[in-house]
Amino acid sequence: MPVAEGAGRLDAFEFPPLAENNAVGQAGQALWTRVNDQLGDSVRNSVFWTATILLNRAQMQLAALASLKSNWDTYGASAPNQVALDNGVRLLEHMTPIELSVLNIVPSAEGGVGFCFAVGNRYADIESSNEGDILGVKYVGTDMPVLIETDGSDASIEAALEQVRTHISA
Amino acid sequence: MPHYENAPITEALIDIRADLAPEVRYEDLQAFRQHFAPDYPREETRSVGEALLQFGAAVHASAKQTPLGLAFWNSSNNQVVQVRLDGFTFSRLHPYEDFEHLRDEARRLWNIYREVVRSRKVTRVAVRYINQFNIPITPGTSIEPEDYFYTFPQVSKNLPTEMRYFGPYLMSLRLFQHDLKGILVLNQAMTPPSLPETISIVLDFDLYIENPPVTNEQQLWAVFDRLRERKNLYFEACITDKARELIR
Repeated sequence: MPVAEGAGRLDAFEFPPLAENNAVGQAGQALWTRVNDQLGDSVRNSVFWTATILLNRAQMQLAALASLKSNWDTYGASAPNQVALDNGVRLLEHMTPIELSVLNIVPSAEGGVGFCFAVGNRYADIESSNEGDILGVKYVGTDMPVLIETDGSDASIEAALEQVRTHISA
Repeated sequence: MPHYENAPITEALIDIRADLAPEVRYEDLQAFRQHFAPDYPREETRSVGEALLQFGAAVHASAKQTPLGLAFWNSSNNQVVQVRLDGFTFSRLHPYEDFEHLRDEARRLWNIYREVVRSRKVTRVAVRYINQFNIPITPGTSIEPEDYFYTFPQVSKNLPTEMRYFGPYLMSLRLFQHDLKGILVLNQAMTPPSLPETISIVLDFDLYIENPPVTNEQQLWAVFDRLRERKNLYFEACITDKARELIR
């Protein structure tokens, strides 16, 4: 029973594989409930499984943005292009469950993808723009935002996310 | 058990569930901040959440979440202690050190936990090792799981050949441990790869005992030693020499 190359590609599947149930019969419902309960129990105390599922959900949110068309907001905004999406994938690869658990991924009205983090009144946003820039801000409540800069390198992305991590877990 | 230079352990954890004093509330877990902050400065709220994706002119996500507990991370992001109203978990992430480090730190933190929340009875203990095998693969080819594992999902040979190439999977087995009066949950799954040109297969051993027959701390920690020995046996029994070559 071979496993084909590509079967485990990041964009190739949703994890866990048993995510939806279209069965309405008692046996199908019972099986789905049982498997989900068991899976929930397995995931609950594990940082690794939690991170895997959070990352997968974030990847799916990001992948959903690829289908947006220009003028998606009816105010003429550009859809996120491949540059913004590819940099988005790089950002996700550097995230830990600390950020992933409070992450919301949204299209940007300026063209690109926004990664928004919020814990209480502490906020941070990192934007991956259609021009290839990766820049962010962090702020508390209505305070003046503080700029988070990157030069696009992996090291600077990691440093930016470290700032986010420290800010939201303070 | 042989020592593996490149041990595939991506997470090892000790989990203790307990009955707490009835007056303890979720808000009381905040008290752990002052105890853990020096070594575990980063705090995260663990939630049971249900993400909901909505597609349309605007794409946005919303989540309905119920707080479950608090997780505290060390500054290297490789050790995490979780405190909940039903118990405590200590995890060591990659790179794994050894069981003695895992057990000793878990014991130190557990002593803080049981003091703060006044735990009355241990209701469940678990040792869990999650191993991630990154199996090299040439683009356009495939691998045979039985080359690496003795435990894996079998697909009927009577199915059409083209259906034998399978994709993402998750297998979860519950195996009774009659002598320990416990259960081994053996999960095996293909997960997103952590390295290019690899297939990632996770082999997860979660051994637990409900209502362990322990009356003191010494007995409690002896149970963990026993669970760990058993886990080693199962790990060795489930992998082939080809898998061992990957992690030597």
